[in-house]
Amino acid sequence: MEVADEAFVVAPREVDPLRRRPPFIPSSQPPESFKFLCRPNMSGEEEENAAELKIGEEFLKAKCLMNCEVARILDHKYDQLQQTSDDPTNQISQVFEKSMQYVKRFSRYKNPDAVRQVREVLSRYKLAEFELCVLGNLCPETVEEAIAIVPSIKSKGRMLEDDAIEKMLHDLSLIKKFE
Amino acid sequence: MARGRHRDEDDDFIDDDDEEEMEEEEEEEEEEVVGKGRQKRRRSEFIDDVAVEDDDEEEEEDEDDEDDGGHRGRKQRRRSGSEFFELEAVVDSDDEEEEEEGEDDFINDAGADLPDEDDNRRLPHRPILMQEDQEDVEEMERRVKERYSKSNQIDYAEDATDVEQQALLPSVKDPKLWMVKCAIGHERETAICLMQKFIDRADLQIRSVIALDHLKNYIYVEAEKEAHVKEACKGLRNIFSSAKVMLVPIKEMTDVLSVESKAVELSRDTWVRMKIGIYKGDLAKVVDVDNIRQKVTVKLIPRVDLQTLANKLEGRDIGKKKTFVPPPRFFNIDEAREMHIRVERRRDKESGEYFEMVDGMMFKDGFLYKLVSLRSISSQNIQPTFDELEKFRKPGDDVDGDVASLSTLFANRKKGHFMKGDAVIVVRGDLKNLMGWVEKVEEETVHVRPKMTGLPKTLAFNEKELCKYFKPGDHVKVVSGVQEGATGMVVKVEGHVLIILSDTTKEHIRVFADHVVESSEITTGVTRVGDYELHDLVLLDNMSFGVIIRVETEAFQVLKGVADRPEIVLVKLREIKCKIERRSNAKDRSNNIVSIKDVVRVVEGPWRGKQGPVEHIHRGFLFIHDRHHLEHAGFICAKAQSCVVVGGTHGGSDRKGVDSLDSRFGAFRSSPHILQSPRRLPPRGPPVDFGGGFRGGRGHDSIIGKCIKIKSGPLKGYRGRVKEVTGPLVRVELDSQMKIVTVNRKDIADATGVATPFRDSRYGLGSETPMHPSRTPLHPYQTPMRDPGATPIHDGMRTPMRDRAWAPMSPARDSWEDGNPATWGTSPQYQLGTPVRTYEAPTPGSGWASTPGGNYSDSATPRESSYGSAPSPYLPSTPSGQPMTPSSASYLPGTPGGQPMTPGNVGLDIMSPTIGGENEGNWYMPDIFVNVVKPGGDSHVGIVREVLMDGSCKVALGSAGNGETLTIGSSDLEVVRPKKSDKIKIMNGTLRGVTGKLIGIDGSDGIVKLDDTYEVKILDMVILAKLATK
Amino acid sequence: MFFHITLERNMQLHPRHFGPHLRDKLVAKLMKDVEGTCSGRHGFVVAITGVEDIGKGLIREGTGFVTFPVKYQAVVFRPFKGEILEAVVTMVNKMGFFAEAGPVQIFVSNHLIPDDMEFQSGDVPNYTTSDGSVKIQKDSEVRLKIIGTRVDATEIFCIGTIKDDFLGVINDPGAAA
Repeated sequence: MEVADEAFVVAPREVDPLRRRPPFIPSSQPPESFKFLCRPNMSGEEEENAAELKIGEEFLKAKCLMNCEVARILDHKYDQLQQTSDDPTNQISQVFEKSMQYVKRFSRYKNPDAVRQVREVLSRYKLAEFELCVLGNLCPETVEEAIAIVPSIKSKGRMLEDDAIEKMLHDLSLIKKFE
Repeated sequence: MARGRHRDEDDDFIDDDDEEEMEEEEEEEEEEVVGKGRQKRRRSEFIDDVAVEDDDEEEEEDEDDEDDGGHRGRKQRRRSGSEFFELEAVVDSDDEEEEEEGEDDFINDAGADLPDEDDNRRLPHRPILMQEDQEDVEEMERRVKERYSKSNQIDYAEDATDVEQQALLPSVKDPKLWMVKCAIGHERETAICLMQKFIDRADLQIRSVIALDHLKNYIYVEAEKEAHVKEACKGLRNIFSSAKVMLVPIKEMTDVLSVESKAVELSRDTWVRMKIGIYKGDLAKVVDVDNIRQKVTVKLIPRVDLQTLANKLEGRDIGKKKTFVPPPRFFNIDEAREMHIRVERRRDKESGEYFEMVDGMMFKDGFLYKLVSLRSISSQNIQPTFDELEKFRKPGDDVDGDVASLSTLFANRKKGHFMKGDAVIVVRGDLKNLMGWVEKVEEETVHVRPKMTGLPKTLAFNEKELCKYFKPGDHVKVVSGVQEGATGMVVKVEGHVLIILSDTTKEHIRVFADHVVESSEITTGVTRVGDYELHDLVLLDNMSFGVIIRVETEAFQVLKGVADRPEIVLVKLREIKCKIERRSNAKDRSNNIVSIKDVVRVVEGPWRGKQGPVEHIHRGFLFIHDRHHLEHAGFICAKAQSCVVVGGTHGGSDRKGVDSLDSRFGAFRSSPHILQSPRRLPPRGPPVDFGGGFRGGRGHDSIIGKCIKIKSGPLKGYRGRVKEVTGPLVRVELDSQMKIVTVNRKDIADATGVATPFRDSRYGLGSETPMHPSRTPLHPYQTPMRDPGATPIHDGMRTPMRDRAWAPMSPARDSWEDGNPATWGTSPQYQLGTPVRTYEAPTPGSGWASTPGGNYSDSATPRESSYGSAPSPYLPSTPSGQPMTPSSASYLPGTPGGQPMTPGNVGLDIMSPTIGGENEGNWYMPDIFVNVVKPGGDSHVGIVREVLMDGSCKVALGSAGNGETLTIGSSDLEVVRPKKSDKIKIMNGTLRGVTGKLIGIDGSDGIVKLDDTYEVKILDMVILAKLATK
Repeated sequence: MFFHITLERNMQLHPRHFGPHLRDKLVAKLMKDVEGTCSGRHGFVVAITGVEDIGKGLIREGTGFVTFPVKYQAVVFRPFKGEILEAVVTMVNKMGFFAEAGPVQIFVSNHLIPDDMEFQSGDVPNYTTSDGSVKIQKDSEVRLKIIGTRVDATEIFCIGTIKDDFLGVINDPGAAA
């Protein structure tokens, strides 16, 4: 079988005899109907990506909280509410409730001292707040795992050598052990 | 005949002599498309169906009734027709055909000896050619050969062809194309005339004339100079002497001649749809295109009924026409053989592929291969659905399918498809899989900034080499195709197909990358069928109701309004009665008023712990949207009484912030408002009102929320609650009808005497009840009042009293009023909010604060007992489930049905005859017998057909309802009291609307056997009406 | 990820609250208005931990309401693309599974579940590896990576993947992590 000769394939159109320009030129302006469309990502490069620590200036500077820290804060707040109200469950928002359940479930360190130590230990390693908290939350066991979950610690020529990471993880595991 | 053969041979061996070549060359230059087409035609004759074609050839020699394509193809080969013919021949038109036929004759007659004729006719032309082109014959020969060898390649690469063809485009050296205006509708004629003139006169220096089908009013003339054109046109009656001759720019010359775009555009693997026959609407894939014969071979999923086929082959039942269209199904040879259908296996001469031949049909791999006319398929805007594509996808066909849909996609692309900033990926060519962003779009060329470093800053691509690119996680909106309008997040990218998680259904949808754009907008796609939209509250056929949680084609999934377990029904459009649009309220577990958009938490039942804004309220059921609830589009149906309000109510714009603040605040610390704070038990509960002054959140108008009576105007006599005040107009929610009406403010009167604002009585009575035990019950129940001030506390406080109070039932209202002067006197002030504290003071906060629930149920119990005389099947089982607010219940008279009603309403209903006679009219219902009492005195029996909004009824006179239908005011009507063993309809109470049979009368009570449940009830005779049996 | 950040808000207060306890009222209203809300920029406001500063009030014409600029600190939860976190599975269906990490919901499509895990319907729908060693069902704890977020007025919804190294079930003994 034979293929149609495509040499002169031209889109169907009306030939306007008086037109000086080739009639099939599509308008370089996008049609009106497209204007409503949101284009959040014009350059395609300023995208948020936690793996590259692109989390926005605001959050990069803000204080990050590990789950165990959040658990303490929320606990404290909950206690306060309990004292002032008979039915605290009715006062707290769903967001609060869900967060509290979550951080309690996923806190690696329950002991307040341990929580403090974790932050202290991790702070020695010139980590960004965000990285610190991810590590504190997930407690990787191997260097490989640590790099997988916080890829940014290895990127951009940061000081962290595998040895240093190893040491850091070791320190973390010690805290857990002696909690 | 011999001549025909001879010519064919000539064509195929073009290097026989120079002249032949020369002519070929000319033709080529003049019209590329024709040349190609002819070339193909030639091939097909010798390869494809030689035998058939040759026969045709001979037959067609003198007759002209064969199909256009074949005929024309033949004519094109005919040199004797000269280049003019060929140009004309591309364009199909019947009248032109005839004219050509004439020419044929002329030529045949004139030139019996072919070679001579050729020489003669080319004489005037040749010198021009030689002198202008200055190309030697060898060069031409080389070019011709080159060109033909190209087009003979089946699998040429597209870009290669492009380059080759570039060389053939007209240049400045070539003759120019002029556009000449001629009479509309005579374009062809003009062209023919010019041709005739050219034949007649040797001195004409034009090369060709072109008339285009789609171009009216103009013809094109090919010539070196404008003067030549003018000369040629001189004297033609269809060409106006004044007409300007316009030069066609070189760039556009090719466009003039590439007019067969429709046919040419169809390429292999394009998706098309059948336009006629049993395959109408079916998707088909083009496997071969024959542009000359205007035929394509398509691949279809056959709709063959093997049984019918077998019958036909065996000579049975032929006369009978098929009455149904067999469903598309792949052809199975084994099945066919089982039915003794002869299946031949034949090898296609050209492709070498084997086909199964059955009854003249060609099958391969289960698909039907069908040769159809171009006209019987549509190739524009074909957007195959994934279902259809899936069907076409057979094992081993995957890659092919992909490519195919791609080509279709490209064909359907809209203009302006790419825009600056689009992420794109290259899908063809050397740079395949290169990603980048669109920088600039110029016609079909897209400039792309590649993602990869080390490449030029921008690269130019043809539009067709690019495809939009999305990453998992992108939020997109579908802008075309079946799923148009839907939004979602990209979950996976499979080539140019995206899998998207829809925002609303949380389901996967597959779309082409080309059909989506990045967007932060969130929509649902198709959310509307008929009048109903996703998340609407609708009334269903059987009086049940529910929320539409999913819209399918022509059907809805509805989450029904039943508590405790989710009940999902699939309903058709016609099964939905109407949309329930009124905004009603309900009371939560703590007797706080729940309005739409309030955030509630479910505190009991299977949905315990769920929380979210209330989207709909109906009959005491709340439809809550909990975004953490993953099923049923996040909707939960729960009884209002199983929920507590959590956040601020949205009833008033500023109420939320301001009023609820107190509660919160109160919870935190002691305050000077100590007296109020304790009653704000649910500390976030906004319904807990600071006082009347602020509850007018909607307009700071003291009248808002008040119960009023309309004292004049068409709605005179109606009672209702003020919802909103706008200038002189007041929007009133009528107690007796399901609607909110707008009335003039001067037309309303405070209805305190009739329907007391709930709160007033409550607060007032709170301290006074012990003294007036018998009166209290009336108030809360009678007042259809949604009262943010109605805290659970108060209910609790008064419960014991109410218990007792209720039992005596229906004390005369008047006396009560007299007995409570203080209450009434102060209530207006109270509404303004000032004296709140004086009312608060007597309320001992601590007493109830800790046990709201208990109090609550206490308070519920007496209600039930209160209308023990109107027993209702549901109430005993749901003691705490008194879900309705009085206000919403007050609507119920309009909606008959055995749904729960508020006790308040019940009380009111039962007592209504004693309370206010004029209200009676509201209780009429369709299909009951009434006596029409005319002012004159005599009465007629009639049947109520319809109850109008203003309380009057459309009554059909006569005991059978066959008399004339009149609209009669309710005051002129009287219910016909049923007798024993009459069919009845219950007009009031919880069973309002229910029909039954009166099986006995006991004093003022009637013993009724209900139709639906066969239950026997004892009901007040007053609320029974004789039912018109149809 | 939880953050402790400082936010600002203009609070409107009704004049009737003016008095010695104005600040308390303002704080109470702030908590009521803000806690539990969600914005695309800052995520979910979980709890207000303190008020830094209350600016000078501005009386609004006509209404008598006063607007106070309030600076406060709050614990917020904001998911990011690319973030790895742990979550609890809340629902499993053939499309994938939903998980919750605090207030945020994350959907993991079956396309983003390792290919060797197959959907098993039944009373407890789950995804299980062919050898049965790893199972994802309701209440499983998983470690996942957020690959996309969608923000609307009241929530942030995420899609995640467990198709990567060191992702997957964590409360299951056979899990990789």
